[in-house]
Amino acid sequence: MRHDEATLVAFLDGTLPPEETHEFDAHLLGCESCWAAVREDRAGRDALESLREVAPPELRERVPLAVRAASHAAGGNRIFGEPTRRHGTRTLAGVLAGMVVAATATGALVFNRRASSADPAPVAAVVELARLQSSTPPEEPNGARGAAVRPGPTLELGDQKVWLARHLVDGREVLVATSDRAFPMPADAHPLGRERGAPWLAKRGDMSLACFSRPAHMLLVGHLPAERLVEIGRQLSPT
Amino acid sequence: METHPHGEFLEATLPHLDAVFRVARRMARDRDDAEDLVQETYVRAFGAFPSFRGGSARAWLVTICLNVARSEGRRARRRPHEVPETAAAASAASPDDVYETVVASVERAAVARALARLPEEQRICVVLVDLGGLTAKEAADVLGCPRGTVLARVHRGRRRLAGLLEREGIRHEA
Repeated sequence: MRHDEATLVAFLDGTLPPEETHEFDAHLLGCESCWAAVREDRAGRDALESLREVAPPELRERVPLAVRAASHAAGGNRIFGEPTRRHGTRTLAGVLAGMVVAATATGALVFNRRASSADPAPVAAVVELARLQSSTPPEEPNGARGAAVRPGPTLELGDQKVWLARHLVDGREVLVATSDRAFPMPADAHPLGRERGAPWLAKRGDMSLACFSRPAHMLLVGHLPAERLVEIGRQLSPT
Repeated sequence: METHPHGEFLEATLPHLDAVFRVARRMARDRDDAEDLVQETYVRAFGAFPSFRGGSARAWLVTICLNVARSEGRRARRRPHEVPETAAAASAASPDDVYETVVASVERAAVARALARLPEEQRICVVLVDLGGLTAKEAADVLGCPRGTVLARVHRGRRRLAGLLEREGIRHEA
């Protein structure tokens, strides 16, 4: 009986021909070094069981969100839909030329992309994500007022960082984005005062936007009346 | 009915999230970095989905994960690899649970440290096959080497791992 690693590995793999397997079985009974090798192989494999973790639930939520955001940013069906699927790669390359999708070491979902709407990029991105998440029904429709449902990803738009959190308010989801700098005001927004940094409101389809600059830069987007978003924003603002 | 471009992709790839996470966990410096790596893997895979020719979606995702993990930009952001994995006990209900949780956590940390000490070629084969659940053939395709080479490296890696653990007083009886 051959007493080499290749035979031993084939034996462990179950790919040794039947006759040789019988021979190797017999060989193992009398060969201390081969028996030790088999034992160590199995011990190592069993030890690795402890590292067979499952992905955390937050990641299971975050990955589809990131993919959906990438899909939306890349132009959705126009890129991947059946009619253009065969030419998808080429078309996609053109769209990706204006967009970078990557994650950073700080857990951020980064997407720098050409704004497709007239909105400034940070506002457009938050509205887009709010629209995407509104298609997912809230998990706990308990109507909690201003209660945070879960933290979302962080966006990096150029050099602006935006932290997202999903809140459940009056049974509706509201995306609350806070940032290290001001959200630029869209041209059609209504400022709630004349002073610099006054809150502003806007509508995008059936969603309302409310933005604050003090005491923190905060943009709220959701399917609620703008006035309700203002109330929530004031409740959430650190005093 | 509207077809969501990401629907088909997620259907094909989300069942492999655990496998990709386990691989990412061993390629990244910590858990947070691993989660970022998984997300980046999926976003890149989505971009490349039109050119995916079928076959093992798991092996395809793992290949992308390894490429992302090794990419220059990512490497530059990483701390040095040898960051010791520490044992962290989760909160548990009773003293017995606490004891078991702590023991399991210490053992898991020891296994992770031992795995990190394997020679790179053995480590990657063990990660792909024993943690990522790839077949030897799939791992061989991912790494571009013969199947027999993968089997031999997995075997040597497991043996060395068992030896390292035994030296730490952690023994897994086969």
